[in-house]
Amino acid sequence: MRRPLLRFVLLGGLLFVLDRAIAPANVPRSAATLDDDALLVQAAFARGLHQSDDVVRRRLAQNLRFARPDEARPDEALIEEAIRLGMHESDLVVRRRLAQRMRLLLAEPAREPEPSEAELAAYLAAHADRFTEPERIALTQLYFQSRERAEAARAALEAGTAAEGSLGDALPLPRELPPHSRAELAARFGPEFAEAALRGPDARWFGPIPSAYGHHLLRTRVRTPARRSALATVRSELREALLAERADAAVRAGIAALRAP
Amino acid sequence: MTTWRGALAATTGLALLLPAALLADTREPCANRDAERRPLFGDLHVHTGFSQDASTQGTRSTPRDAYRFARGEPLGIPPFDAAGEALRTARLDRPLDFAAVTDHAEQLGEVRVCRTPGTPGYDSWLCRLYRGLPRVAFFVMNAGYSAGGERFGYCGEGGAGCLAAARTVWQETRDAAEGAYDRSAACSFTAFVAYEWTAGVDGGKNLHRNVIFANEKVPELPSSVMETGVEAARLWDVLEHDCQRGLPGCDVLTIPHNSNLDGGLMFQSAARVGGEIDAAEALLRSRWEPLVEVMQHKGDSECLLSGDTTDEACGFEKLPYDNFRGRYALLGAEAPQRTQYVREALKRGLALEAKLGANPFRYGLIASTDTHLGAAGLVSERDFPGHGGAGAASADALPVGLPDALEFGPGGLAALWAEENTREALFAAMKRREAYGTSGSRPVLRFFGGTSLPADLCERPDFVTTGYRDGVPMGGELSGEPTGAPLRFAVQALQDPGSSREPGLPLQRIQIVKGWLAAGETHERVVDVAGGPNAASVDLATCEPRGAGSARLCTVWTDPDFDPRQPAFYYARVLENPSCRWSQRICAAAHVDCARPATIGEGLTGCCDPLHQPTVQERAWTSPIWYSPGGER
Repeated sequence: MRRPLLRFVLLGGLLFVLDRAIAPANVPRSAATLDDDALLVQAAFARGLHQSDDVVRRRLAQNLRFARPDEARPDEALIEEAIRLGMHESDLVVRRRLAQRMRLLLAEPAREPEPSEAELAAYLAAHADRFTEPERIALTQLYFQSRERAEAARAALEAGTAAEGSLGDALPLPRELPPHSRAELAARFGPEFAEAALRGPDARWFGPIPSAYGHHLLRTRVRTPARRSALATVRSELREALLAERADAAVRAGIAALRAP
Repeated sequence: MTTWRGALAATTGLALLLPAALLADTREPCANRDAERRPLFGDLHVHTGFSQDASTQGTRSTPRDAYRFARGEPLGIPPFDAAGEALRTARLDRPLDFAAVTDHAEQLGEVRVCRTPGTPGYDSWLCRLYRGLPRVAFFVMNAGYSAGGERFGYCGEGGAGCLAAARTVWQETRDAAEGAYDRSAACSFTAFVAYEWTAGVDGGKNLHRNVIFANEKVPELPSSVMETGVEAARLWDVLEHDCQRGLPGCDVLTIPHNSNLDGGLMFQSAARVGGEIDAAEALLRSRWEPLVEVMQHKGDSECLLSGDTTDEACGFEKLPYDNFRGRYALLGAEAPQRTQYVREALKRGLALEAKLGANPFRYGLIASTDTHLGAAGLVSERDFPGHGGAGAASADALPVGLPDALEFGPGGLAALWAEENTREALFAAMKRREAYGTSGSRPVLRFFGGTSLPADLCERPDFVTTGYRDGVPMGGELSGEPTGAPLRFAVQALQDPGSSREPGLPLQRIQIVKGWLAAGETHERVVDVAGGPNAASVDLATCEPRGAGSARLCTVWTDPDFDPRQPAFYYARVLENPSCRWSQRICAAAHVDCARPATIGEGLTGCCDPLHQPTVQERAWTSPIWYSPGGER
């Protein structure tokens, strides 16, 4: 209204795009030549999803209100008109939404029946690499700003001339680290530190080991080797992973069925 | 026959409801609990293909994909070829510790027909079943569909069947969070159930909030702007009704974002858009919104270089317009105003508290990405693929030149200080604001305040223990100390250790930003407290950093102007040495020389735009520590 020229240009553009988008749809095409999304959109139309999906309805009404800012009729009437004009077939937002809805609809039945214990156990066995608890070490670390100070401290510790609690510079990280995996050590101290710390001996001081911050004397208090996760501790992850796999298969099968009914 | 089939379906459906309930809230204790807390890094603002503004740009990821990406697995990103294969792949060097997928509630599955009395179909038997036993309703409807699609007239009476099915989008989101949450003793990853409430005014003034739930106990449906209208106070009402009061074990908070695009409205009343905040709202708001997202893909919202703000570091990732319509120049927008920025809100909060008795803007600070690719935590300035939403599109073809609009970027991360990586510990950290935001890197940042902190804390090995014992951490509150003792702040930063592929950058300085109220007027001051201007730079042709910085900075700073009668806040900001911005990395790799137009290839004109900032100083912002006189708290 306030910018009639702008509106004219935008509308012209919109009509051009609509025209281009509708043109190929007028040519009948068999299911075999449609890509997955187009096939799903067609299936959504057949099920009336374009008339019932709220996001689609809102989009169609918005389109017409944008084109006619003074439109006073309720959304219901606008949606009917938009569908009569074939807007649901050409609008990109509507098409993507409908394809997405169809994928979810095809996937939904795969959520049942609930995965059995045997299925979960089989899934765990088949994906052991994804469900492994990594090796962890619980370190005591003393931090020093210089390598010289760290070396002097280690000599004092080994000679028994200094107490562990009296050594080290301030660092906003704990001295008694809880059990850490390689990835967790790398995230806090840097990748080289993680590598060296895991290679160190158990139960005695070693180092200095350099990190992103300086130099550390380390002692491994507890080492827990890598192990397979127990089913009970990863049950919900397993369940969702298994259901997701089933859902993907159901969508693929559903699309194949639509293609060759 | 129909009845029989329905009854069978209903019985089966009922049996299926049980296992999910048994799963709730059971987990192993963490093997790596840390009593003195550690910083966990995550992304609390992630869109997937379930958001229409992402899917129309070609994004196909689901919440499940986004969580897998956050945990370190690769993700296919647009464009996709005809066979559905992604033409680009992204992967994090370092997995995140936590993430929340926040797709737009407006597209997550409204079932208005079945939920709104008076609409056609509300009284249909399927809607009644849906309201009572939604999962059974779906099963029944689906049985009808399998039998040929005619028996129930697939969309049922009044389309209720299809609308009921829309629920699966939200259900899918919840299931994905459940599947990604590590409940084993490894405690390696936390996924939150969340959505974005997408309120806007005048076609582009952003009032958006991310709604983050504490655990898997969440309402049956998200609350969108369609139900609440654009006032956040209505959203809080609904969340209180549906979650905090209506559902045992449910808890939730909201995080506003992009005040830099709010057209001046975010830090006004949330009960009446554009109105004044009253005492009741101030209290409500401080309870619902402990955090604000200070930086993300669509720029920085910390501060604007204007008025009494003379802080040069505010010239960082600024959008040149004040609301989203500015993105489309034809429709116009205003220049940004100071009142849109978080620092001003923190200052105004002090003045409002003096007047109303409660501070509506007691915000802790976080950052996140707002990725629209489902690429949670993809914050590196290297190989930035564009963000997949409002910027440049790459739905149909690989982007040529700069993959996003010049003013946008990869966004930042949220850091939370927590004892362990669980929903309980992280949600508690959000509520007490023991949080900081970063522009993408992962520095470790401790910040304590108090009158009893020892001046030699940086020299002591028990920095953390003493900090907690004698002071309050970031996000904390101090109240009047009649003793006249000096107010001290202990701040320590460790540089991001980085990854093998992308080493972290040294720190340049720590600053403390103070805001205070004196005689009814607010003021601010920024002080370098550790490190300072240095000779570090970056080679713009190769993007190699030059010059030294600090791996660690630590200081105890005493506020020389502390006046126990003046309410104040203090937050720390850490600046890294300069580095190449994402855009400059692409410009440099393409050997663009703005003096020689022939070198400016397709899609690279942005390299020579006068607004282009080739370098950035990555940074982190702590949540403030507040001081209020008189010990009224």
